[in-house]
Parts: sequence; structure tokens; C-alpha cells
Amino acid sequence: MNVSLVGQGLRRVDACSKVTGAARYATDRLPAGCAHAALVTATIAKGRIASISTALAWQVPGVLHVMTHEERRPAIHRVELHMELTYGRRTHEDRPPLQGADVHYAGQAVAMVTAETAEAARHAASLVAVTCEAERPVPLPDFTPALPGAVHILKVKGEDTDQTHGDPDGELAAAACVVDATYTTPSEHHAAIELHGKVAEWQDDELLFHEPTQWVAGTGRALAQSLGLADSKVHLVNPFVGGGFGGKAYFRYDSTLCALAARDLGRPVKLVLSREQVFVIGGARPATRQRVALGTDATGRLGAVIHDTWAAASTVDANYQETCGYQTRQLYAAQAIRTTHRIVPFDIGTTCPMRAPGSGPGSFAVESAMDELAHSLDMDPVELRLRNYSETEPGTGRPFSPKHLRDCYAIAAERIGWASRSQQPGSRRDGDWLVGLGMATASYDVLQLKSRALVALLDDGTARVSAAAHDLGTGSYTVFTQVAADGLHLPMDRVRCELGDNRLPVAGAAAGQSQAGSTGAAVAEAARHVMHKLVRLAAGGDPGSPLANLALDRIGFEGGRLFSVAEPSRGEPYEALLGRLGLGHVAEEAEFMPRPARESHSLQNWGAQFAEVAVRASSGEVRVRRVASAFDFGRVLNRATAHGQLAGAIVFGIGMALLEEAEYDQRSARIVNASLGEYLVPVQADVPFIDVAMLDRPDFVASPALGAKGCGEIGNVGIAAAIANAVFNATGVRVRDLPILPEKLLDGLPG
Amino acid sequence: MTPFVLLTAHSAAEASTQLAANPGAALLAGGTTLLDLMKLGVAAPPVVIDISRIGHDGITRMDDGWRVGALARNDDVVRHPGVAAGLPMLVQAINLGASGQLRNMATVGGNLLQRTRCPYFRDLHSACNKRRPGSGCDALEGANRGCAVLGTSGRCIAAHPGDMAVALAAIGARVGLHGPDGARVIAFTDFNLEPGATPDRETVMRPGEVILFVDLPALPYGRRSTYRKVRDRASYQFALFSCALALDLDDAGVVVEARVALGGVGTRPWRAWGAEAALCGRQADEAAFRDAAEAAMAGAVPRSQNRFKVELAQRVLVQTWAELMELAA
Repeated sequence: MNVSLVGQGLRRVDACSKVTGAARYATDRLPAGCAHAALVTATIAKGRIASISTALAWQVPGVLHVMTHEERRPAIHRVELHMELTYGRRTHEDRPPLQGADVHYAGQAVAMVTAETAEAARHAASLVAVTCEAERPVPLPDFTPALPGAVHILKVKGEDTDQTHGDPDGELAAAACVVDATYTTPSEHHAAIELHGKVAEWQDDELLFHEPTQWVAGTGRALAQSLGLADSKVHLVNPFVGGGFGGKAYFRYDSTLCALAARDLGRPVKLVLSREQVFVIGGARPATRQRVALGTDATGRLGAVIHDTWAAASTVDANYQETCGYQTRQLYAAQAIRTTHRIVPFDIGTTCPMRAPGSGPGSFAVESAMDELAHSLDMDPVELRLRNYSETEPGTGRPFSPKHLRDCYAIAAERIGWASRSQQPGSRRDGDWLVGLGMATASYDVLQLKSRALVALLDDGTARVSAAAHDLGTGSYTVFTQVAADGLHLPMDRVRCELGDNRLPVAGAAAGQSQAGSTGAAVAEAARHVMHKLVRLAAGGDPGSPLANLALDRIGFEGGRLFSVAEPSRGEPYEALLGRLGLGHVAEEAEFMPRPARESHSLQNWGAQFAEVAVRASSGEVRVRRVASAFDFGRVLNRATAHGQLAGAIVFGIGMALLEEAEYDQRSARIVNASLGEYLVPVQADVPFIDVAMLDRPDFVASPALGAKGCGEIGNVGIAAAIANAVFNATGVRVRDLPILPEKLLDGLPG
Repeated sequence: MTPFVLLTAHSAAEASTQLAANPGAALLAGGTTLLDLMKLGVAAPPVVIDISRIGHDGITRMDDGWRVGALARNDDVVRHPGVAAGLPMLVQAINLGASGQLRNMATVGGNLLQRTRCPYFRDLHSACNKRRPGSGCDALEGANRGCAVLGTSGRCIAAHPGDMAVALAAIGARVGLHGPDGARVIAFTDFNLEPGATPDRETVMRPGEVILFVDLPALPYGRRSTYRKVRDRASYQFALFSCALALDLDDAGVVVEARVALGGVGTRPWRAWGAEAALCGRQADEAAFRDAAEAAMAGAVPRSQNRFKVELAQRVLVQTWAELMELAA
């Protein structure tokens, strides 16, 4: 019997090319004659450009091309593409650049210089003299002055942003125990190691464009539209992405600038944003202010859950809503639940999804509040969650697709040694360190995107998988190879996978942890069709076939060979059949459509996050000592890459809990720490042993073909709360404003 | 980056001559600070003089300590068995100061000239008296969590970012300089200047002077020394607060001599003379440590975001002295 390749922790098929440098990332490309562009960005956050002089820039040797809103103003068509991503936006920033004198945020592109070398372009860009009439901007993080401008978007991700079941205010008023608190999370940045960059090459009226993106199909169409071209005229290539985390999910108009400069100059142009520009233009997880009110009876049964979210956005395009309360609708079986969402515009750059959008910051608030509630009730935090376990979707009673959250709690609790935890904060000491344990629930809805994939079996006995999908370092090449090899009954090394090209069958975005399940299902389906076709060919009219005229269900296949089930020695390799028939290949394309199951079921991924932290009494320094987590996300396609996703997302959450915060100067509304030296993300020394358990129970309600959901986001949900709750357990200090910095703890620590 | 002329010096004398002949020129050793600042446009020297080939990169045993060539890499110091055994706080400070890659590039002399990490210094579009004299100081009312509370002025509160330098201040290192007017050796504690009215002047180095060596005196009680660094992330971050401490105790546990230097809180590597005086002659106990910690932070002028540093410093000092008592002398 064939052992399934799917699920095994197989080594990445691109591992060698990654570690040897053979893998070519988009901006590794350097075509002959390539010129280099650099953006000039606004240094004020609000106002108008009074004058802009490029004279000095033009004096730099090698300068070829300069664009401003006055000089060679770029002709950009506004993108009206309907995004399949349902986060409510079309492009990264919904406003073409260099079209006028208005400045909306610090870092907005106001000019682009192209020169013979990157050095000359950057130097010339620094010499573009921009004078502005500045107005007083509204910076983060204080929401209060900005609240009057709050915007209500009625629907996001197909759901009403405001929902009420029952009478939450009444339940809260009648509750025996109440937690009602405000939590804040700061502006956080994706900080992917690969910068945003692009290379534009025109071949007659067609554009070859290399760019790292999480949505090669959509980005290609948007770029074509912005240039006034037919979709087919833009060939977008994106073989590897050096980290996306949501920051590369959308089309960006600076691509259009790059393409226009290349067209004007009649030569290729490369534009790579600087690290600082990636911080200011590249998008951010919006800062949030959240009110969570929970009320229970004396036994800890939830009557009221209220979760009100205000999330920051840019005044340029206040259309991205961080949906902090969406998971709150699923979490606990409360009598009454209200979730509301508003967008609050600031004079900052565009906000956008970042790993576990909505649920990431949302879970910090609601799961911290649950911990506060448990403390008030003097109840074990796990017990409080079990007492309010949602068997069906709260409020609606819709069934969940298979849910094994109880097992997640049990496994992770056992692995962290939860039984040893004291309810009394500050009761465990290890020298100068105070030690505590905390936990949180994780949930993330199942996003599925329409995706196509092609599987071709070739007459040399190998196969090729093709899809306009993406590998962000996530392992997609490997997973799709496994799925196809499994379906074709071929060894892994005879299957080749090609991704990241918009001329391949259209796939969805690599977003919302949708890709493995969505494109993976299309690959599985296509492989099945190929095998049906092959079997029909073997049984069909070919007189040379050793299997001619056998009934279709009497033909088996394994290890690249077709055979008679009754007489296994009778058969032949796939390539023998194809060769004899003179067929170069047998190819089938399949499409995955999101399941109508969404109508009848609530489709969720689940998890339990447990953390042990140590807080240094003398300094307030917080270090995570251990994490133990368990996740229920359907079938595991590759244990190694899934583990990488989950552990990586937990590391991401350590950053969210303890380190990450874009700091805005309150006068200029500029980010003062826009570099990887000053915007802190965890380094190796911050990462403890992370014990990840994967339940690996297929969910055939959510995913009939594969049983797989997704694991890229769920690992980031709840971890910040688990750490904050562990800090409380260690110290007795409740920090409701991330990140948890030493100065927020110091006053509450023993001297 | 602004275009520049690159010169190569083959000796310290040549470097000094080139430096004197080219106003505004910068010396390039390990490049770990200079190249960063040039890419940011904060430093735009018309001439860069590469001194990586002038020698002066050895560590030699002297009668009363070690002479470290200015071009010795930070890691050379860490790997030197004599220094490592005799001055643990220096080794700890260097190791906690930077990643392996940086320690392998950064030189000891260059490290003495490390520039501040104040965000307004590193941003061309902000007011900064250190970068552009007379332009003002945006840190006073701005993002000043990382800024200094000791030795500040109304014109500048930028913190000195060094780790190694803090240990050198505690050790009592001396700096050997070579310039057009000849050679001189000065105490490292006299090397850096407080900002005062001229934050752009950071050291006593004269035009054309080059650092040739740093002398590390042996500290007989150096084994009872430590370097503690406090930061948000476990590695790869400048200090919120740090301290290099050494204690010499007599048999009765009375402090004979103490060395106290602070980082992350001073505008220069901060030798806390007051704390040393407060400890000397006292029984080394918690009461003495508390008094000394208070003395260390006397005169601190905190700003909006770095108020916590005063308490942080005092708590960490008391705790670290207590831990030092556990170390065998």
C-alpha cells in the first residue's frame, strides 16, 4: 500500500536553492541596461507641496529621468479592480501618487528619480528640494482627538461589522462579576526581510514585471489596469517572496511609476524601496483601541460579551477595517454578544492586514479580559473557558465544522505543566526572576479563495504542477509537490512545481492562511483528473496497452506504474503509455471553489496558547521561557512546514507582546524608529523552546477534497494575550497596552 | 550617500597628515558606525581615509596591564586570554554590545567614537544640535525614551550608546592619541565631552588626531567585576541602562575601592564618582548599595519618556552589587 506523502514532514524542495543562493528573488533580476529608480518622500505629514525643484538632482551624473506631480506627471489609471480578498480594499494605497500637491502622510512619494546606478538615483533623490506648507497633523497613538472622524464600514469579509445577539447591556448590568476595560495595541509593521522592489522590462507593448507579491494574479491585473493595458499585456513573475505577512498582499502604485519610467526610457528600470520607506509606505497593522466588557454569573457563566473596536487608518484611504471582534463572535457561549467596529483616520500611511489580521490584536484584548475575569472569580483560566465552551456558533446556533478545542487546551496545558501554576500572582520566584504561566484561546476563521491549478504528466515520467500561487517562505512548493505526487502516485523527485507567474492558472492570494487549502485542493483535484484520463487511455483503444480493455476500476497505479489489479505484474510505467500513444503529456486543470458549507456551518481553526514568562524583578525585563501550544486546523499537509508556520507565528506574537511598536513623533507624525535597528522584532535570543502540537484531524466539512484548513495565521492569535496573562501571573501587574515594556511593570515589582 | 574621495593611509602618521590636509575628512576603520551614517546622509564627509591597513591592531602585555591597538577588533579583546581573565566586565560589555558580525568588524578605536542612536540625530529632517549646530533639539519634547538623564544640557540629551566604553570608563583606561602636534595619552574619562552648549563636539580630540591605542590597566580586583545590560530584547539592542561594576573588599566586607560606570543614561560613558565615594569605607550591604545607587543618579534630569530610568538604574545597581558579592574576588 502506498504511504501518503501528504502529512509527512518532507524537506522543502527548494531548500538547497535557498541555502545556496540559487533561488532568484524578484529583485535579484538585473537585466542588461537596467536603470535604477529611487523615490523621494514627503517629510511632512499633512499639507501641500509649495514648490519642488529637481535642478540639483539633474546635475548628478547618470540621472536619466525625474517624475514629480509637475514634471512629467505620470499618467496613471485608477485601479477599480474588484478584489477577491475581502478585506475591503483594491490596492495598497487607494490613491495614485504624484498627481497633485497634497501631502497626506509623512513618507508619501512625491517624486521618483531614475539613474544609471542605484547610488546615483538615491543621491539625486536626496537632492530634490521640496518645500511644503505644513499643517498640524493628527498622529498616533492618541485616539481621542481623532475619534470624531470615525468611519463605519458596514460589511467586511461578508459580515456585518456591527452585530448584536441578545441584550448585552442588560446582561452586563445584571452580572455578578464584571470586567470592563480598554486595551490598546500599537501600530505594528510586517518587517519582512525582503524589501519591496520591482523590475520593469518592456518588450514592445508588453510588460515583463518582477515583483514580490502575495497575489501575483491580482497584482498583475491591477498593474495592467493602472497602465491602461489589457490584462494579458502584463506578465508578472514572482518566484519567491522573502516574507510577506500581509505587507505584500496588494498592488502598489509605485509599480506603475517604475513601469512608466521604463517605458519613457526604453530600458529596464528597477525600483527597490529603502527600509525606512517600507516602514512608512509599506503598510502597517493598524493601532487599535478596544473596549471589552464581560459579565458572568457567580459560577463564571458568561452573560454578556461586548467587544468594541476602534482601529487606526490613513486619512488617504480609510477603508481597511481591522476586525478585532470577529473571532469574539465564535469564542464563548455567552447569552448576549455585541461586537462593533470603527475606523479612525490619522495622518499616517496606509494600514493593511498583518499576520492574523483582526484576531491578532482582537485576541489580545478579549483573552486578556478573560484572564482578568478568571482572576476576579478566583477560577482557573482554563476552567473559565471550558465552562463557556461554544458547542455551536454563539448567537446563531450554526454548527461548527469539526472542533477539537478541548483537546487543544488539554494537550498544551499538560505540556507546559499548567497543573503547577499558582492562582496567586507573584508567588513563584527564581532568584531575581518572577515566573508565571498564562494561556489564551486562539481561533481564526477559514478563508478559502477560488483557485485553479494545472497538473501535467509528461512522457518522460515526470509531472509538473503549475499555479499562479506563491511561496512566501511558507513551503508552498513543497506542499503542492507532495499533494500532486500523492495524487499521481509518483515519487516527490519526479514532480516539479512552478508558482509565482500570472500566466499560470489563476490562483487566489497567499492571504488569510487560505492558500495551502485552496490551491492545494485544486492541485489534488487536477491530479485526480490526470489519473482518470491516464487510466482511460490505458484501457482504451490502444492495442499495445497491456491493460487494454480492462474495466477502469480494474486498473491500479502506484510508483509511476499502471497495472492490472488482478494481475499486478501486468502493466507498464506511465511514460511507456504516453510514449506509445505519441502524447507529449496528459494535462488537466482544476478549479477549487470555496464550499457552500460556509452557509450552513461556521468554519474555524482553533488553538490553545500557553506561555511561561520570567520577569526580572530588578529591571522589569520580560523573557519568554517556554511556549506550549496545540492547534486544530484540519489535516496537516506537511508537518515540517506547518510547524514552521506555527512556531514562526508564535515568534511573531512574542514581538507583538513585548517589543513591537512604531513610534510617531507627536509634532511631525513621522515614525522615529523606521529601521530594523530601532523597530524591535524578536531575535534568536528572545525565542525559547516552542512546543507545537498539531491535532491533524481532517475537516472534510470545511474542505471536502483535502480536509485541510490553514495554519499561517492561527499561531499568531492569542499568543500576546498568553504572554500578558503570564506576566500578570508572574507579577500581579496587568498591562493592557502593548507592548509590555519594563517601565510599565517597574512600579509593581518587589524592590 | 553623498559621493566622496577615498584615500588610503599606510601609517598613522600618513593618516594624521591626510586628516589635517582634508577638513571634514572621516577615518574609516571597521565602518560599523560611519557607513551607516553615510547611508543615512547624516555623515557626508568629502574625503574618507581608510586606516584599516595602518597596523596598530595588536594587544600587548604591559607592566601594569595591556595595550590594545586602536585597530584591534572588538572580538580580539574578547578572545585575549589575559584580558578575558583579568577584566571580565570588559569582555561581558563587548559581548553584550553587538553581534558577532559587528564585533568582528568594529575596532576598539572606532568604538570610542561611536555616535549616538538618538532618532533625531539619525534623521536629517529633525532638529538636532549635534548634527546641525543651532538647529535645536527635537528629543527634548519628543521620542526620548532612549535618551540620557545624566550630563544633559538644554541643547542635547542624546545618550552615549556604547557598552565597551562604559567598561573602559570603570577600568580607568587611557587613550593614546597621535596628531600634528605630537602624541599624548589621556584618561578615557576625560576623552568624551558632555554636550553643554556644543553637542557637536563629542571628544577632546584635536583636528588631525588619530587614536593609536587604548591602555587597559590591570585591576587587581577585576575578577570581582561585572557588566549588566538592561534592554527590551534579549540581544541586539542598545542599553536602556547598563553598569560596569567592580568591588574591592577587605576581609571584613568593607569596601576598599569601587568602580562604577553607567551606560544608557549618560551623555557620555558615565563614571559615577559619587557612587564610588558613597561605597568606599562602607560595609558592603544593602543599605550601602541603596545609598550608592542614589548617589549614582544624583542630578538626573529625566524627560517625558525616560523618567523610569532613574528608578530602573537604582534598582539594577542595588541588585547587581548584591550579585557581585556572590562572586569570589
